[in-house]
Amino acid sequence: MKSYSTKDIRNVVLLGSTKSGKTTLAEAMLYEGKVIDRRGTVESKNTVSDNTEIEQMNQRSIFSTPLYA
Amino acid sequence: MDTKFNIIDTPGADDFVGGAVSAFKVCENGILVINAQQGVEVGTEIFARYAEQYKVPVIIAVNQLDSEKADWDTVQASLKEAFGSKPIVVQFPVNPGTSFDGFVDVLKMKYYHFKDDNGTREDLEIPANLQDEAELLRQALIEKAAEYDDTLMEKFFESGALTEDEIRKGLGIGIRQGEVLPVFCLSAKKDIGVKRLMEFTIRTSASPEITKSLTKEGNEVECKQNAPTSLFIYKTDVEPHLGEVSYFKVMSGELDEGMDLEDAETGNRERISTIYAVAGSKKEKVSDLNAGDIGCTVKLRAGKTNVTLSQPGTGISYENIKFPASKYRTAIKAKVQADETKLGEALAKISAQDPTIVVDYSKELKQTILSGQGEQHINVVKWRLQNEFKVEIELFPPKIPYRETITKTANAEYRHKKQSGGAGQFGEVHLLVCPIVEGVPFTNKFKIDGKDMVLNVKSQESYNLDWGGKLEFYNCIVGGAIDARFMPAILKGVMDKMTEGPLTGSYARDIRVFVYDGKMHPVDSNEISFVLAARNAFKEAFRNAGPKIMEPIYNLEVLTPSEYMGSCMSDLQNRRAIIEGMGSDKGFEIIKARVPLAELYRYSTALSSLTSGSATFTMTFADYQPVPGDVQTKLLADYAAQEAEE
Repeated sequence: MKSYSTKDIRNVVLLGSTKSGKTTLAEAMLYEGKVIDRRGTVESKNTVSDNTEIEQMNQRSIFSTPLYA
Repeated sequence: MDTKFNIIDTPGADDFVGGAVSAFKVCENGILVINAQQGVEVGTEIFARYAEQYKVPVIIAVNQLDSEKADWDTVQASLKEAFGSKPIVVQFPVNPGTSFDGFVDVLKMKYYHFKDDNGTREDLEIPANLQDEAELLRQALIEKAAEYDDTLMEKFFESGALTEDEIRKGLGIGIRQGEVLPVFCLSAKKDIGVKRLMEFTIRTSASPEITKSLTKEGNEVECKQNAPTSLFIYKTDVEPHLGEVSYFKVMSGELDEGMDLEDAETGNRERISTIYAVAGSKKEKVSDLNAGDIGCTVKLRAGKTNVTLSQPGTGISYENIKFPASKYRTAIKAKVQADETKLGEALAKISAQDPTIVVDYSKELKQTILSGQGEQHINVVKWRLQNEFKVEIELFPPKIPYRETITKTANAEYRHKKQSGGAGQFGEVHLLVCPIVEGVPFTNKFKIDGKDMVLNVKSQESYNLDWGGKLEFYNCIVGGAIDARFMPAILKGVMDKMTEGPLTGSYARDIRVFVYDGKMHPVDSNEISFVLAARNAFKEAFRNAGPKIMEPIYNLEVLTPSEYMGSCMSDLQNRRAIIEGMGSDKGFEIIKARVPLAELYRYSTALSSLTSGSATFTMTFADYQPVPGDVQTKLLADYAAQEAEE
């Protein structure tokens, strides 16, 4: 992976209520950024962001997860 | 893409707000996701407030427009109610609901239609029946964009129009000032609108270049590549195969693999052996990262949250992340005594990873107190302790840190005497106690045993007690009744009872002690004799001085939808709350109250069930106040029973 200059970086935090769809949005962003070639879903417990057992068990995020696209 | 788009996905539940708070430290921009079925929720409101507080500008993405109950008009109304004139529509959906497959973008003046669920998009002309609406919204967008820049405003007045780039420029300024909230359409599930949202963010939002970060000394460091390297660790984790992982943002300069950096606070040196770009558990090794980028590294010796590592000699150390105060406290112990050490270590690891989990052994209460943002938060800790760390634990109600004080003046004398065989002990102390009340002036005139007396203060000491309040100690001995060398022993005796108050064993506070007479024996008087005499004299005087138990009071602020206002109020009244004010903000009701800590155990859970999880609150320590008579009687009885048991 190449390194990006400061002006070509955007750091974005996804915020919102429970079940508003932040993790699904993150998944779609990774897909659009071609970091992944298949989108997981919260229900199938295979998103990039909710990757811990306790998050998958609860089907919601508990920890913040950094990602890039 | 030519841009690196770093995303931090945060939990939506109020209990896990720590994740968002630490993300604010490293993100210049936010996307506030709104559920099209619900509109603005309390959660939305909470995060919008946090973003404002941490000065992170946001754009609004209305998600789940593909769901059956998606209701665009209701969403717009709730946005207006919550954020006033700030929201401005950039996109509107053509057919919200289960068949949702496109929206009109009034910045681009295009109709984006999606052919599948994988983001395959066609850019079409706006359908004739939507032209008028699109024109109206575009005009509103242009006017909004012109507001934040003088040249744009002039141009707008002259020609009535702005180019796409000009609109974006104006919006960008307004967004960064927190005055404009552009509204976008999404179905994240069907990948509709995602790419367009990213494009807008990339072209309009700030790059890290604009940021200046404050150091602990109050200096500003610009996020520039041509500068000494510094990085800030905002999160840590323990991950399979990697061990301890430290997540950081490069705050300035360029970070290269193998670089030696220093923690200016501790002088600790660290080598950055490997650098990763991160997408959740997927980590890609990179050789370097520039200022503004986010990544992680492993195997640091002391790579904890809030640590700055910078080029040796530069001395840069950034301000810590300010995590919100705890809202839920419980006492915790291992089910088996032998596991206590293991529990302590596990809790230390958990709170290092999640600084909103606070673990504190209270010497006063003789309990380990675990505090967090709510019961769910604590339950996650419990689950991790049992499943990841294999420690069985018990949670139980924490004790309340009561205080004891007095309300009037009283005196007492005590003779400690032990003179049967061997070295004797003798000490006699006469002392007087009176309360320290703010605004009541100092006096040394008292009525002692029916006689008016003026105490002649020879020396005085004043202590601000660790547990709050004061102790003032006056030596008023005349005629050498007690040698000055025994004064420290007398003070120690008093202090002993201050740390274990005569009523319930709680800390005592706000007391003035005058030692005005006593006796000593030329041979048998020693330190221990005076410690014991003072302890008992103080205890007796204290008990005769109208002693009161005081309890900690918290300022509570509850934010609730108006339909639950009544039930929140009556619940608070049952908690001995004093309602201090009511108001409304952005469509929600706010209740401000003073509530004793003793009545707040599991409040977050109770509030959640009262309001179907739609309310939130904050609590901060206010002060100590005397408990009501019936509560005092009960506490005294409890303590007596506990003493009898021991």
